[in-house]
Amino acid sequence: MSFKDSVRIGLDRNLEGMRQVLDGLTPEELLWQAIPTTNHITWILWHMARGEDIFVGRALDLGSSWIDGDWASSLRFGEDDDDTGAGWTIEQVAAMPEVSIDLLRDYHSAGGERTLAEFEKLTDPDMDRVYHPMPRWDVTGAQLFSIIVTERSAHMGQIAFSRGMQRGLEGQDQRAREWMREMRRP
Amino acid sequence: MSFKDAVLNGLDEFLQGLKKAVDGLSAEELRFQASPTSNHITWLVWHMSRVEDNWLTRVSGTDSVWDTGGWAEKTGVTGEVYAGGNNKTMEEVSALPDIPIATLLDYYDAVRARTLGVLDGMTDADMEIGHENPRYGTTTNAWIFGHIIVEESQHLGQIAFIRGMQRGLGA
Repeated sequence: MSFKDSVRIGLDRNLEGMRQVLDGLTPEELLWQAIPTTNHITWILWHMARGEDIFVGRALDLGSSWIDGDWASSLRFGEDDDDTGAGWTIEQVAAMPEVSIDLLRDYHSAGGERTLAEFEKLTDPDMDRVYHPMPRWDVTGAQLFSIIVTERSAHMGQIAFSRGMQRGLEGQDQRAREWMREMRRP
Repeated sequence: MSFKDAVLNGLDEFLQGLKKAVDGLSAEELRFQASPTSNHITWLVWHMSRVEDNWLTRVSGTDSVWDTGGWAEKTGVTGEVYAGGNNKTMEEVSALPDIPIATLLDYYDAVRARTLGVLDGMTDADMEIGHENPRYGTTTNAWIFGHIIVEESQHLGQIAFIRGMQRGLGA
């Protein structure tokens, strides 16, 4: 084992955790906004997936899965390959095109699996290399992967928070329910 | 550089992000609960700092920063229900003492200094050392550090969300 395993665990945990936190949510729950200036779960998931696709794809010169992988057309979304949702207005979030949640989850998982596969090829010296994920933004390999883990985790936490607001303590995902049962044991 | 730097970066990005996310918030904003089953920001910061302290206590085999630094008295969190850095009911969340955010961040800085000191002496070979944990079974150091970054970052996302609910866009 090594520190590489720690980073891999962070990348893995995001994928597994996302499956759990989305489990069983209804179409209404996926589009629920607590107040007009909060994002809904569908938007957060789309934003996460687009962000990872662009950030990893451009940094590692992998091409655009949004365009070349036909995800834009499958999801019936516009083909602006630079759009991650950052800077969207409240109106844009509320008017987000209807997307198939199953396809969106597939797009998100595909991006995560691609990140993991590319990560496996890297070694310690790659953590010192400079990558260019976006114009005027250079990162080291170490920053590239730490940002992926922290940013994805932050958004996953927001999805869990939105789920919790809607479903309360009893509607938590399975992992959280098991943990609560254990916490309540005398 | 090495993969260890990715772990160090992740920990640092989280803590710098946390300080920005709570910057300037009023006492009311820090205690705001978005729903009857939502945690408030003060609880989230207290919980994360305690959890990192507890994990590193397990990893290092030394006493907790909470105990050695007298932080129960400094924060006023002396109730038995809060001893583990977590609690069971929403009533307990709401009843968490009113800890000034500056005090909590001082505690977090002390916890993080201990974390970095422990990591400083670790190499890849240390990552496979396992520790017994009543909730998780046997956990390796590798798993623990990955887990800490993910869990802390999740809660930071929630803090940003709660801040945004109160202050709107451009918060």
